Amino acid sequence: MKNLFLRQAWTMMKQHRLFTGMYLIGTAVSIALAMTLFIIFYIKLGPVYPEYNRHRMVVIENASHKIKNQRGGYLIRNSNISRGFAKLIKDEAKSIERMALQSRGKCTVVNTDNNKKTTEYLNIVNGDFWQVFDYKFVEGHPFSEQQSESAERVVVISTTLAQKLFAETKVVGKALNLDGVNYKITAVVEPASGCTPITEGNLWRPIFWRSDDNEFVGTYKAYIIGDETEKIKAEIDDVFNRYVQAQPKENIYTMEVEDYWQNALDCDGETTLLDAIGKYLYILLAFLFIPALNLSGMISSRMESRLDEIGVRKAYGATNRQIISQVLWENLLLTIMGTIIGLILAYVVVITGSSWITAFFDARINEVTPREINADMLLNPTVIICTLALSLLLNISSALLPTLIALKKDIVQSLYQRR
Amino acid sequence: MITKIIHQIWNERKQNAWLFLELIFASIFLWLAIDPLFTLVCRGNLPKGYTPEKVYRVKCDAYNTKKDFLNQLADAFDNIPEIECSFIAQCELQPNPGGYSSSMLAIPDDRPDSLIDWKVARFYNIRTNEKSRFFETIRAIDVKTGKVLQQADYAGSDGAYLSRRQAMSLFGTTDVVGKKIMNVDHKSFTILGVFEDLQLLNYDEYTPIVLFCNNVDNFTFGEEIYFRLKDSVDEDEFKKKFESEIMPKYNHGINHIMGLQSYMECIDKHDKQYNITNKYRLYAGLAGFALFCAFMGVFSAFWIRTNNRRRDIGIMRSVGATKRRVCMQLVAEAVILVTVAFVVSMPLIAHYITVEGFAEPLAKVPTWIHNDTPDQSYLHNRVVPHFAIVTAIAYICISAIAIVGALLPAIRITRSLPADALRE
Repeated sequence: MKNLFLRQAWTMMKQHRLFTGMYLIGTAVSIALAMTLFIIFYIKLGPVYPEYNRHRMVVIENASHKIKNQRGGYLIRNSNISRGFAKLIKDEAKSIERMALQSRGKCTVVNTDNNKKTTEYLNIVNGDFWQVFDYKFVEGHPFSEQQSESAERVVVISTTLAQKLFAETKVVGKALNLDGVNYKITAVVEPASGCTPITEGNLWRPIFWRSDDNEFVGTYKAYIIGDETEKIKAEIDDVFNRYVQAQPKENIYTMEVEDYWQNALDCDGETTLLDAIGKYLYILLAFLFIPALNLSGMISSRMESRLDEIGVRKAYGATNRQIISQVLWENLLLTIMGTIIGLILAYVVVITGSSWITAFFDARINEVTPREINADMLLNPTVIICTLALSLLLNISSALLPTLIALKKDIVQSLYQRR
Repeated sequence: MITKIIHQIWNERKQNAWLFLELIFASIFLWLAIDPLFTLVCRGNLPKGYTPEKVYRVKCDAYNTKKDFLNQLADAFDNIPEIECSFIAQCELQPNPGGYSSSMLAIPDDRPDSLIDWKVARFYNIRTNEKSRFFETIRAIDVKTGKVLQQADYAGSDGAYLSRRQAMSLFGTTDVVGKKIMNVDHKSFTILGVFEDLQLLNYDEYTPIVLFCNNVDNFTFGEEIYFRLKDSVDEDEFKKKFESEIMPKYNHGINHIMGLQSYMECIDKHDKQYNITNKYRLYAGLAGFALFCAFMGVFSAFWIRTNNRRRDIGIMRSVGATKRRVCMQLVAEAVILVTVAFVVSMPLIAHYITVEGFAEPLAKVPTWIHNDTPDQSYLHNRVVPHFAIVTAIAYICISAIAIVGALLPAIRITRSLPADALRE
């Protein structure tokens, strides 16, 4: 029966070329826009290289310390947390598996062999950084927590920087001068895309500036992983509260502990996922709902012109369920074709406009590395399943109601329509 | 004719219902996309208060001896004939700064702090000596003369220049040269000049600014050197000369010149960095989508409708209706549908605006960078004019699209002969 419906749909497609064209355009545009939106958010929130631990990550980004002065006002220090306070958290919050610390600044990099210079963003990270983020090492090994603790002058660079300064990637053991100080290259990694703002960059060295160890506010963002993120957050809150209680009461301390997605979507720690996504949901709904209304209008007009056919089928015993099934299958063929065109269109749009489309909902663009799109950002099961789900939703929402309205008419009325 | 058209629309109400619903939602979506675009365009067109063309920033570094390097460059620029003037200032004082320092200012007063009328100010430190001429380089306008502000012959560290807004907030007038202001430490500064408001962040509104003369011999973190080329100089030629002759001369040891960046590039870079360029694209794209949907809806509905009404149109044509008359009737049907749908969408939009307020395109730009207290004297910040203008733009756009969407099928149907239409 389904084959018959599909054959009939194929014949009708060829007969009504304008209807088919409009239907395909409407579906393709709707799916392309919805999928572009979905891919943007997948890149923002999903597991992509090298941030595969996003789903079990807690972020501490903002911290502030207000110190009361003699005039009654406050000296305010707004920044991130210090290395010392991060260490305190890691020692006391037992559910933490790993804690990556990262600070970023610009520096001048010189290849001392040929005096080739460039300016790069320097990531100052601890040893755990390489465990929290799963970089692919082309050569060498990352520096360890012990190397970071002992402030060894070693550096990890990306293949991009290696090519730029040395014209090759086999550079482990060679020297690199950062702001006038010599470092030894210990590893070369595949760079992350600019779409992953935490891990993008070409240069990483260990933390060894310790002047802020006893302070609360410092320059480090903390990326913490563990299996129970809620428990980790509660434990961090507990450490923070105990720390604050031990400090002079006139000083005010604040710290934001967020899930990864809250940080990525610029939400505060109190925001629920639904609230955060809700801000963008109206765009997704518009992408699906407005074209669906257009398709419904077209299907409604077509149902009007097919009332006599429906009347005949009903007169020979077809049930409403069978007729609905026929219409849905017919439209499904068109919807699938439109979906395939839409998905290809979405891929083309995202790949060609990756430098700006993927940053549509970002508050700030670092432009440290190019925003390249990898295959795992596009060709993954989640994206494909969502495309199919959206396609099905579009098909049912646009075809069901006009069909039900058409079926309300009784057999005689339907047959009389085209007499 | 209008009565006939309304009857026609009513008779086809079942087919029109879908189109009508689509137009309502498309109108709402279009309005919401045009709203932030309107704000961005209005703010983007505010006078900058300076002339960014032909001003360049020298991208350079010298680790911890940058101060000496900047002085060396300032001396060198003094002897380059193509360069009109230059200045050294904190990097925040470029167009679209990465940040600013905030302070409180007041007219000198001996009363306790709590009784003093403190005013908020953004402050920047600039060097004001013979070789560092900020106002001439960016061509900031003197409020008093309306010409480029001439830097005072002054090399101390207790002088200050105020923006128009800063002068107005403190004194209620801009005629304040020679008067004194004080900071929170009660240090007093003599006002050396008042300049027209500077739009430091593109698409932002003016904010009160005070520039403190920083002529003590200590290096302020993040200082940069900028220069202006003479009007007659070809920029591309000079850039080539700079890269081939000037850069190699100073690019040795720890001194590192990476090149030139024009003020225009600074503006563009910052717009990209804070995603403002993308905001334009996003909202323009969303508006385009709403218009595309409206076009598709009207076009497909009228295509099918004109096919179904071939007989009616054939009769109309055979009794003397011109092609133009038939086209006009179909277009009028589309316009009436769009107008009614737009009117229906208005209370929904008004309700949304009452609850959420107008869109703030710079909402995600940190408030320590952009001014989050819009000036109510501007039309785009006043509720009724803003709502009226955005509504008018949205209505004109969607009506135009509906006219095109209805006109194409109308022209097609009027091309067929009345006899053919009647025979079918």
